[in-house]
Amino acid sequence: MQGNNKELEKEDKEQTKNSIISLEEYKNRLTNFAEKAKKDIENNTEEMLKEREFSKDWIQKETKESVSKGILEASKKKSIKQNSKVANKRQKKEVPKAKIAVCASIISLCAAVLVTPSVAKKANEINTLNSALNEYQEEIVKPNTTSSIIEKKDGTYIPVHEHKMYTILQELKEQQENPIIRFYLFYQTLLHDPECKNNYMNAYMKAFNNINNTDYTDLDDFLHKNNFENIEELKEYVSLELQAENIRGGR
Amino acid sequence: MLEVETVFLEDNKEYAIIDTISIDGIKYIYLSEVENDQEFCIRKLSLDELDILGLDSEEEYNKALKAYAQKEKNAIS
Repeated sequence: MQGNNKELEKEDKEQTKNSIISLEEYKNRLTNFAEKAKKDIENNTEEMLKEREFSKDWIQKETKESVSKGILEASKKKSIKQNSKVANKRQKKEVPKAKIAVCASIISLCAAVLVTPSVAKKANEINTLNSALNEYQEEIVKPNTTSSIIEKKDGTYIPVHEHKMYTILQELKEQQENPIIRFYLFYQTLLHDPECKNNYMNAYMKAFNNINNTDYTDLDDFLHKNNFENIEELKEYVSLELQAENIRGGR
Repeated sequence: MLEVETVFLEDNKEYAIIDTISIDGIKYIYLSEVENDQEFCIRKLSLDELDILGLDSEEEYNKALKAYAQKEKNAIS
């Protein structure tokens, strides 16, 4: 009987040892995950924007995962409470190690966003531009586009999209009064449609000029005529204007 | 399992004390809700440490969170 107890005790110790190791491993994984998430936010560069542009899923995912911002705002509300006073009555509690690691990681993530505001600013700019581009695509471009599939000589099939560009540009003009934002939405969308970019850029640019009474030849010409140093400056301007519009419109 | 100190705040929820940092003679505590690890807040202790007080402003909140980031950075490097 005593021998049995000893064996059970030994087994129990062994199990506890194993479970501690696995918790340590779990904590490491969580720390790595937090580091990766932090780097992802920091690496939210143009490349990522290009890859994920127009993806509604991505915007939703980013919104969910822009962890830090939502949690940070909620935390601020909970923390800033003038005249609040609670007795400092502490008690001890056993909490899984992994849970504490998660809590610490979340605070770290929020702190990282706060100390690098440029990251948050960039993420905000990307979200604003993507939302506007998506809206333009969904509400104006798609309803005025017919898509079909044609068979090539080599037997493969390719999708072909036919845009009613004059209608699209006219509707865009009615919806968006700022001509610079109009150009950005129009041009950025074309850039991401290889067929348009390769075959119809000149024709569509002509249509844009006709509708808007302008005479742009290409992007560089547009930037030059509107005193933008580069496309980054244009994006920043468009993003700020859109945010201002949203505020004015109460969106 | 890890033994941690917990406190109840005015919302009657239990918070685990994740860290404590002193800034300019004031002790700030970083709390995480025991039942929901996505909810955290920062509070400070009164000078006699008998009470847990709310922060006064966003500036104070930012200062405390930046101190946490700095402490983390120092721990890594």
